[in-house]
Amino acid sequence: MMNKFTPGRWDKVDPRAAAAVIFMSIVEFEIFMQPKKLVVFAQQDAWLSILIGSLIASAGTWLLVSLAARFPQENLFAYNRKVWGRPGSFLIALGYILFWIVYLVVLFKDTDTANKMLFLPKTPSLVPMLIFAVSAAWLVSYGISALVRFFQLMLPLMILPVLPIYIMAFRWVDWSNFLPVLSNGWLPVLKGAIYYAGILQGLEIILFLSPFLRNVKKALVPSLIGINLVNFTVLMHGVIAIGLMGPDNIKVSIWPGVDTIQLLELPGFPVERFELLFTVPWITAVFTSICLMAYLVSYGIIQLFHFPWRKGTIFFVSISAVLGTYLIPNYIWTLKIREIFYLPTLLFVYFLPLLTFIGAAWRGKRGNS
Amino acid sequence: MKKMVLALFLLLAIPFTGCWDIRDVSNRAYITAIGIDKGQETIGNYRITFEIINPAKLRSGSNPATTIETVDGASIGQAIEKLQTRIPQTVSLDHFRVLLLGEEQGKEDFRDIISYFEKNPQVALRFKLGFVQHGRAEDILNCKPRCEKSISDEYVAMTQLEKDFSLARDRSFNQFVADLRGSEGDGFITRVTGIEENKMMLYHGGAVLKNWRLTGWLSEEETQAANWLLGKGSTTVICKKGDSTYTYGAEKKTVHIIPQVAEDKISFTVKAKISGNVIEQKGHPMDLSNPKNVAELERAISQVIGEQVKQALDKSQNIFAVDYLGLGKALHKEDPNFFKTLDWRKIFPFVSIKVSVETTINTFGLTE
Repeated sequence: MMNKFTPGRWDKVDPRAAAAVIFMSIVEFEIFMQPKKLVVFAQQDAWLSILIGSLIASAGTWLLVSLAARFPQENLFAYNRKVWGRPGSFLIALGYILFWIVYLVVLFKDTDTANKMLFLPKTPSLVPMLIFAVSAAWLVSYGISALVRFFQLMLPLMILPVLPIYIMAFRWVDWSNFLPVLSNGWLPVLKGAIYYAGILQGLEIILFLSPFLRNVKKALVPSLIGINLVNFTVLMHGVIAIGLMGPDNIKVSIWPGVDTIQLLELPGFPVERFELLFTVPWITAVFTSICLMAYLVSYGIIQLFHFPWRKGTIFFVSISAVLGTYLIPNYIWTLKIREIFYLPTLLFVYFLPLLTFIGAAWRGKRGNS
Repeated sequence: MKKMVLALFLLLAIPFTGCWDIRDVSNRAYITAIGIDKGQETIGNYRITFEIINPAKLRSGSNPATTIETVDGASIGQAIEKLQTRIPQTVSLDHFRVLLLGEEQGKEDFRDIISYFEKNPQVALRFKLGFVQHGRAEDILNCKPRCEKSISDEYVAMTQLEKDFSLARDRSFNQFVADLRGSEGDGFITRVTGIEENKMMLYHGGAVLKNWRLTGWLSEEETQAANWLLGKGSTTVICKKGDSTYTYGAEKKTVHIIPQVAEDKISFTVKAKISGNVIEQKGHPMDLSNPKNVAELERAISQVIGEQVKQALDKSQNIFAVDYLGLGKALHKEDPNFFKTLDWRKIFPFVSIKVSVETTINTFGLTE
């Protein structure tokens, strides 16, 4: 079963790449949406939720790297059999695959909706979605090493256009929007923090990347850098959204992140629409997340069911996910799925790995170095 | 070979993805300003005036480089659809920058207007908003621009470059809507008027909204007084001292609204610290090289500013009974739980407010 994931000599990835992989895997379209839900939970204290949620996410990253380091030559599905037994590990793996499939479909649906609203209203949805799906499948078919290198190459495209916007936006932040602090106490802030930790889908890549790393233990610091880069990005976006829009406007907006960027202006400067600077990071973020999910679903199915048709499975999964978007009747349903999706994320990204770690430690299970 | 074909296909596919939406920039009619007036119920709820960039006029250098069209409609969306029947290019709101509301329309629920603009992905919500006193938005949009290519350009330039101009209340649409949402529909925004039979547009004074509807107007002076509490920028103050009249340019101000709650009795202290320069003097001059005289003048200016602040508070509490000056916001920040227990709209007109102003003169120009 493991031969599909046994890396060749040249497939080994430098552990430092974990930072780029985690950042590119997690950041996606949701960055434009999550200020709303966080504000619904914690009002103007949403920034505190992000900070506390960042601590949970950092602890989760430490847990995942520690678990991966315990079984450095195997991925989660492989060592789950040692910890949970065959039937248990099969069910867990099935759960993960279902979780990723739903997420992949939602990602495609979000991409399609945003594309229709902001860029190409008259273009048939299938055209850009299929281009995304086929490109992603093509990249994924070359394996995780190609994916990691692509993520590393794309990282500057994600960060560089965004930084000047953040710097410019701080000029317009109305700090009084953050007052009063903790007016509703700590409980809503903590709820927001748990919600925040639960939207970091993709963090579980650590458990599948580890067999390809030259030294898993050395991946801890880069992984923490990666997750905290995500936290920093979300914190910046949250602060700017609250500071520019105010909590009351955020609550009624579908994509407060997009609205926030639309509010920026530089008097006397000929450029009016700064949100266009977000186009490249947006496409990059969505594409890399789609690639990652397509990889996890395809290789998960191949590993679980011993499928011999690697490329066929990858293309089938990617195109099926596109077709799956037609099962979601409208965008309200996408939003509803997004709203509750943090619960399965908490289960699959933190809770199950935690139980696996405890189980492995309890039963003295350890992989070969 | 297969890979090469697939790569070529993907590369070719990407630029053709948006062919369905292809529209040359010259085939778009960019709406830059919208004026909404109350329409007759028989032909629609709104009478909407659009200012549209006219590429032909722009090329020929004529002024204004825009076309004005007025359409009746039951909703803004319907009016835009009707507008398309008169314009050969595709109507677009990508460069929409100014929204004006006529006085009669202003008295209607403002939430009905918000919806269209918040829902439309083409609209950047930072556009400027103004309420037209003694007239219709249509008349203002038909004014001839004097310094720019269009009325909307002129309006935006006024608000952007003189952002903290004290005789008006500059708020973008998004900021104003946030103000209203945070105060159950009470707010204060710029007034626009037309003078000389609408040959010229003035951006001055303020419009006060109560419960999402226009309830009254503030003059230039009243807006300036209100801006002592709300604005940030420079303000000019006229102060009489003995035989002389001094013009003081306030440059920096720090205003604190301090709420006090004692035995459920609410009071406020407004503390303002202002620094600026003497910029003009008329009549018999005081010797401003003497620190005693400067201190006396500072006291006199403080008194004038204090009176202006009191007038602003009086107008807000007793004339409109609308808290557009942010006292409730200050109390909410101080004690949010207590604030939630109050019917602030009812209490606000009766709370006592003390005003304390401290002014400093930094320089008196190039002469003493």
